[in-house]
Amino acid sequence: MIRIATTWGISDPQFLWFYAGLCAVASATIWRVRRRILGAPQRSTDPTPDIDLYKLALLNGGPQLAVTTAATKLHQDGVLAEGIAPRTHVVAGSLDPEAEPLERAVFESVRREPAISTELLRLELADSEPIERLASELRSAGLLLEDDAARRLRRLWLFGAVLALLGVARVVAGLRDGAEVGYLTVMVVGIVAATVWLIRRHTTMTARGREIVRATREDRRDLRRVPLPGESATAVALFGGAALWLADPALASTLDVPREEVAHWNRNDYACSVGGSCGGGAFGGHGAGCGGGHGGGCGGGCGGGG
Amino acid sequence: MSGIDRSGYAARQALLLDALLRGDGYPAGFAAAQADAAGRSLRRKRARAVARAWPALTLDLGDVFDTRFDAFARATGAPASGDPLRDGLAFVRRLGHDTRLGDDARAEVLLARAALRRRGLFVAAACLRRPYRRLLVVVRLPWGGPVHVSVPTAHAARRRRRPARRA
Amino acid sequence: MMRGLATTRRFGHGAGWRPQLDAAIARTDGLGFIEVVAESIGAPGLPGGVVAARMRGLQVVPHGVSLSLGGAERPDPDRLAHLAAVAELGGAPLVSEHIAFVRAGGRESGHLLPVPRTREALEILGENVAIAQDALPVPLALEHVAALVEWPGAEMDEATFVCELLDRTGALLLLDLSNVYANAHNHGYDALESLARFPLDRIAYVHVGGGTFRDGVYHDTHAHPVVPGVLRLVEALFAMTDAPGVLLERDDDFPPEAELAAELRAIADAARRGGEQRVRD
Repeated sequence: MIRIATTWGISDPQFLWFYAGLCAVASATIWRVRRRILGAPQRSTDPTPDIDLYKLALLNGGPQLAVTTAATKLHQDGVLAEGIAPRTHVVAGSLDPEAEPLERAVFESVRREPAISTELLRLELADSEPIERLASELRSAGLLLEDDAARRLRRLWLFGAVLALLGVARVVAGLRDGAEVGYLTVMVVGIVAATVWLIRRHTTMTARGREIVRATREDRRDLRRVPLPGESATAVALFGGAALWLADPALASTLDVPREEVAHWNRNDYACSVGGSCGGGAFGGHGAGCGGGHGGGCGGGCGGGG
Repeated sequence: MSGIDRSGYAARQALLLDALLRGDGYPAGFAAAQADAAGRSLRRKRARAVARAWPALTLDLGDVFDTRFDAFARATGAPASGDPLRDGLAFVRRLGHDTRLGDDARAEVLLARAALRRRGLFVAAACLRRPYRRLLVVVRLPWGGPVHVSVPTAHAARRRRRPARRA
Repeated sequence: MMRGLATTRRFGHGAGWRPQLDAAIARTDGLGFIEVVAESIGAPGLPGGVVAARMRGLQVVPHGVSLSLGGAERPDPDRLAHLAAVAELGGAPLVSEHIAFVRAGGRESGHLLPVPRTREALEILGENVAIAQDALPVPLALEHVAALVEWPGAEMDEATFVCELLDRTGALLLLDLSNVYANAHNHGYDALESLARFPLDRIAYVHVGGGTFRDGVYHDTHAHPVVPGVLRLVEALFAMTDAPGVLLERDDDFPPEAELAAELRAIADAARRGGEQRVRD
């Protein structure tokens, strides 16, 4: 008599279907919960509300980016300068009396401790009062998640953990019984990957917040690759530190911006970020979006110097 | 097509370009001062394009960039696509082992290698220290563009105690 | 494949499109056309700013820099196909390239280098241009380049060379006034006199770009304001003929929007003054 393998008294196909069903239910639940907490995705045709530079940075990249933006602005305006040691800051000019609170906080930190390192500056300011105030204003405007909402969102990983545990238990039991665990293992791996991805997403913006960032980025997309000198701070707020590497490499180095930083860029943009070489096409793209290298188009002019 | 012999024409152009890049050995009849100016202009143009595409590398090399790139440009022609990313990568490869690049420049090299890969799988990683200890992994999948992931490798207390100095 | 005399299409005033100038071009009134460097267009297609300009009614002219028509090799079919594709993408009425070579001996120069002004060069160029014209869906305009160094043994001067080439091929002329100025200054002849002998009846459009003097040599950098000498050539040109369009080229060291607008105005004024003179005569 042939004995059909059944682990736990349930046959493999039955369990797979059951498991898949659980996954579907879990996915649907997660999707609904996220939708409810974050709000429905929006494509507003309304003009972008006037949103302050540092709020934008805070939305886009958290306190780190907000501090980087403020420091960029101060350097750009000549209020701060790099110290003798690399990655330090000293006061180089006087602060505008109308300066934003965050700018003032950065300035004060440098003034109190001349040649302060970028690292220390970030540590000091990450949870400073101006940042907190900006964050709470964003929350009340419905652009940033409230703390408890963010917590609820983070707890969604439990679904994935439970499912994964169940799957692993089944796999282990199945192996012991000599059953086929191929499909199940693949599913478990997939669930684990998806859960890790969900955890790492760091969702802090609501759907409205995300839309505002997207719309502003779209509006100022010229800053993404070719920020003009006076607009470095805006470029950083919108496109992250990577924009600074293109606009002002010395400042990017001073501000400790990782060279690979590509805050929220999508994959197609990536190729454009590395020195502006926009990939694709028969000729692989050229520097900074114009006819790089050859006589026409880029710095040097057509035929200027044959 | 027609029977025009282009080989002599081709040879003369090759000789001129070679001499312009090298900065000497101009064929007979060329005004040396003018040729110098033309060659300098050629090399400088490439240097500017590469500097724009490789900001961290340029910053790292500092004053040395101009001379080293000029030497490189004298010895090699520009890449076929004119892509300064590719040109810069060739330059980096020629820099030699005695040149230690900073973390930012090394990240740039990694990203460029992935971006320039046209086909197939590419995986590379580098241990970087600044601004935080991390492993930068760059992957280019056969069907898509390059992707990178930075994995922090040290749980070194990011929240260190700060000196209690306050005015 | 299109040959024949200059089209009667008018372009008006234009600017070379660069990503850094996108916003400025979008906000400047009175532009009739833009020029895009064909090699900068990749798989993603035309940049948003170019498409937007087109939708506003501006004409788009692809400008090639890598065909190396003056080189010993025949033009690469792939590069020609790319140029044709960009022309179609932009609904372009014509495309332009250079009377120059950019590669030799298996190496790229990264820059437009001049050809010898000889019968031999005319033959080879003639063949290459014919091949290009066959592969392109729209007429081809050719731009002469500024040369810091000249080949020895020139059999004719620049204006004559360009005339002969265009006669032979039926291509149009992209008249670069800065290049006329540069070559005249650097090689010691009269710019105005030379300009008058260019095939002015075949002008497709005109280039004007900035430059600077360094050690007595004029460099056509496209990174500086347009020098007064070149503006005078604009006026002189329009006193001789009504050119279909003038394009300002700026490739580096981008100026604020107001400065760009001022440059465009200066060119327009020079063109108008010349035109008034022509009407009077």
